[in-house]
Amino acid sequence: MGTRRARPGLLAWVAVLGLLAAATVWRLPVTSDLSLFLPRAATVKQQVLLEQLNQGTGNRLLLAAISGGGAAERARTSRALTAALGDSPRFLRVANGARELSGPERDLLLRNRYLLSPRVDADRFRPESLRRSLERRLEELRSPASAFTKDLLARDPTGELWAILARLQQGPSPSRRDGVWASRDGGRALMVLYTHAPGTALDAQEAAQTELRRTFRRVRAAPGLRLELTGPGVFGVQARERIRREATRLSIAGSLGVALLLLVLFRSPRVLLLAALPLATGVLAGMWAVWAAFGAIHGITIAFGVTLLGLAIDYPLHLLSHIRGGQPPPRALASVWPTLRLGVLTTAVAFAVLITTDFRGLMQLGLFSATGLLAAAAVTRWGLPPLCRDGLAGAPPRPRLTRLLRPSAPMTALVLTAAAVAAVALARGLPGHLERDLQALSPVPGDELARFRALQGQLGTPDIRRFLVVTGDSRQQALRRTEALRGRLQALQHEGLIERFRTPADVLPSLATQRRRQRALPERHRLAANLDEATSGLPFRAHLFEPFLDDVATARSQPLLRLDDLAGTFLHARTASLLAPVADGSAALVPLMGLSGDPAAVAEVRGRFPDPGVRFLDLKAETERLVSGFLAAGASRLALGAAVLALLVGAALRSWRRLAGVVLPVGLALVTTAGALVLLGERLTIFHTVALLLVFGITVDYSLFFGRPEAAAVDRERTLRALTTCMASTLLVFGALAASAIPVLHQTGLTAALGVASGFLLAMTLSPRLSGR
Amino acid sequence: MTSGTARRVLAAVLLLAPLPAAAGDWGLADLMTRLGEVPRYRATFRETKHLAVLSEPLVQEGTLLYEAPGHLRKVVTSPHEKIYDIRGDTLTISSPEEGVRRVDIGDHPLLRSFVTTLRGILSGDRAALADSYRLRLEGGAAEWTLRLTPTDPALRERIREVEVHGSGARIEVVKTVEADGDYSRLAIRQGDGD
Repeated sequence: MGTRRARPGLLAWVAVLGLLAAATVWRLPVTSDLSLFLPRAATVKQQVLLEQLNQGTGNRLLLAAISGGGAAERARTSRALTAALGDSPRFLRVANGARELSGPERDLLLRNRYLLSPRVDADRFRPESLRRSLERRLEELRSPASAFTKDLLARDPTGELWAILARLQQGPSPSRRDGVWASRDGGRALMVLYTHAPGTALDAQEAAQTELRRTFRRVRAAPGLRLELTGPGVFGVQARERIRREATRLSIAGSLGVALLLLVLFRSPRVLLLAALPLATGVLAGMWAVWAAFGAIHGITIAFGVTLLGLAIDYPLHLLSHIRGGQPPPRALASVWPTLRLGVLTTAVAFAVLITTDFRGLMQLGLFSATGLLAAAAVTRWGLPPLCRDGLAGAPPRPRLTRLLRPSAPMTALVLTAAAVAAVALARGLPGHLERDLQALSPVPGDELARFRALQGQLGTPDIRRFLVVTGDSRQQALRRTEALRGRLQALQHEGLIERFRTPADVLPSLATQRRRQRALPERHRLAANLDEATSGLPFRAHLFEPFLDDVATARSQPLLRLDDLAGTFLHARTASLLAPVADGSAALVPLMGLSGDPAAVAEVRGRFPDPGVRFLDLKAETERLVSGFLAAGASRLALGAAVLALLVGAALRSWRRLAGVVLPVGLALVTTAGALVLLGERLTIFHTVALLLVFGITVDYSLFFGRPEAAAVDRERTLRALTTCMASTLLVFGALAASAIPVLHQTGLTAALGVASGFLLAMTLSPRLSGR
Repeated sequence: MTSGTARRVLAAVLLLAPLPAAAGDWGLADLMTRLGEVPRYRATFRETKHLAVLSEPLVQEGTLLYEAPGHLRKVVTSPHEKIYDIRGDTLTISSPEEGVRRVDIGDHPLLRSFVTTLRGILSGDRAALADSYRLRLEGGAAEWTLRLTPTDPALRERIREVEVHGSGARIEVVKTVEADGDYSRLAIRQGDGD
């Protein structure tokens, strides 16, 4: 009778959950940019750093290598690919070495040359300097290069465009083969591309990369040619794909294992469904909470959140394990719920502590998991009992298992010894085992990165690591301050302390500078008179320089160049990436290329710029500081969570002994897990810390259940069975993850697996004794 | 006629077919071979450039040195001293006023075409020339004119035609006509063959 009523209810619930899940997947915006897992930037340097990591031109960079076939075929393909992608809105710039600045960039520079050229001053247009310029042009006409220079002669006899280009195109140029960039051995044609989307916008990145590959297949000169693509955006897309694939594979393996385990233990498929309901509801509730609070959810939050919520599968197991054949669920509920409630509350609070961090990703994670746990517990408490009103045909407890796991003195001694060894290892090894390198957190394999660096080296695209950060109340002030540094920067270059530098003012001078140049331009009739004087005796055709007179006259009243005017050209990305908004004003970045890491050289360079608003930024050092901060935030929240736990448990149990029965196993489990990680040679990262939080939550439950006073022996048997089932299922899931080669999955899985095992053993051996049973 | 005879006639026709072109006393292949046999080459030159932007032609004089396979050196002595030296893909320009400047020819596709063309002519590298030009030979061994018309679109935007006059293995005049009608005439007077 009960069965008949319960089954439609269960099915209806599953159906509703399915619909809601589909709606969520359909509508919920999932983000994947990395900034979420970096702190809300506190200092100017951090703001600049985050801006660089997210929006910098560096992360829009794609490097392409064409191999196979003959050199001529590779060059032809490189040209065809460049031409085909030239108009694509997905790419800001496609360069293969054949044409340097071209099209819109060249037009823009030409149009604004009198505002941009560093050589423009009043002296530039006097008869003597005009004469010098014209004589130089004449010499160029004699040279074999006359075919290129004569085009611009009439418009730009003073050569301002070349002066601007000379400043923009500093640096070593890559080697070439058949007119296009090639690797040093000549075996591969190389290309440099900048995507419109930042490297962290993975969907847009994937679309751009797909277009690139598809176009390559269409235009390649021979079927044997291959395209090799690398760059931050490629890493991001590949990593997402690998994580997605591997996480799916491992989760399926883990879930199948758990399903099999439950089937063997309970011999009822319905139990499977009942056990999954609270978890599924919790995941949805967590997603909605984050959606409501943040407007979107990060992919990593979902992955981690579901991991943390895996703990919720224990709740229905506790309930179901205590339901006896012919007994109504309320009795089982009454026996389990008080303990379960305390466990849920403490764990939820511990997870919620993450909301107080500065890292938006951790905040989302805290909200997700706390909400999810509460929802899962509520479903267990109020949703499940009506669905199993008729009880379950559960298997009777197995004495053999219980006897095997009965806490004995030797076992306690063994567990405590292991904990002590781990604690010593942790105390000795911890300082050397904290991971500060952001790269270690990245799922990009080391050899991929090495390949990227090698290509970067051959192409001479700078691996920018050290900057001057110049701040001002406004962008204009930052630009003016940057311009004031130029002389000293050039001195550094001449002394060989740096190879070269770049400033946003190269393409976007401050308005003050532009205005000064504009004022230096003579009136038309004056310039015409000067020009007459300068050309006398030179063989230039009469009235040749009318376009020059026109252009200068126009430039005298042309609107000054602003950042928006660069839109649609590669110069915009290049300049905008060197201008970052900061808390109260604006910052300009001056990358110092080729500055060695030698502390003396760094100190020397720092010392040259004592100006107000000028800071020295080492990207790597600052990133390491950020990563350490991330780790510290995780660790301190773990400690805070532990304190909250102690308070809550103390208040609920009102017994020092029982409090000790919970706190001691939990504390020892954390220490043991961390110590075991150190012994295994792991370097601790934020992923370990988050997984420790899970260990914390699980061990609290174990300790509470092992420590509670139970009258009947049969209840003890059921508790032990429930906890063993919980432990085995959790171990299955995380053991599978630990097998992964991807750092995130491996670190989370290993930590949780170690923690669950040690937490179970510690709670089993210590909690009953301490709680006075 | 038996089928065997027919086959023999057919074979003869096929074999002889290329002959008319090669049968002439002077062909492109002969010229290229002759040019390719010159290992070293020294000459004085006088270059006259007629440009629309100028009211009178620009004249330069100096010496030209070529060493097979790829070394080319143009020493301008008048009106200003300047040396262009090309080895492989590197062009070195030096002058008393501006010092030494190194240019990667690959950086400038058109410059690269010019150099390839000049080197191709001097070394008789037919394949290199045929890559970017249609070649037409007029005259005989004693007095010939080689006309090069660009087939490469990028090159055609700049160059209308290159005309080379010579006799035997001796190149006498290279006239380059640009797309806009400007042209330069390089008159070469070979030294006493060292």
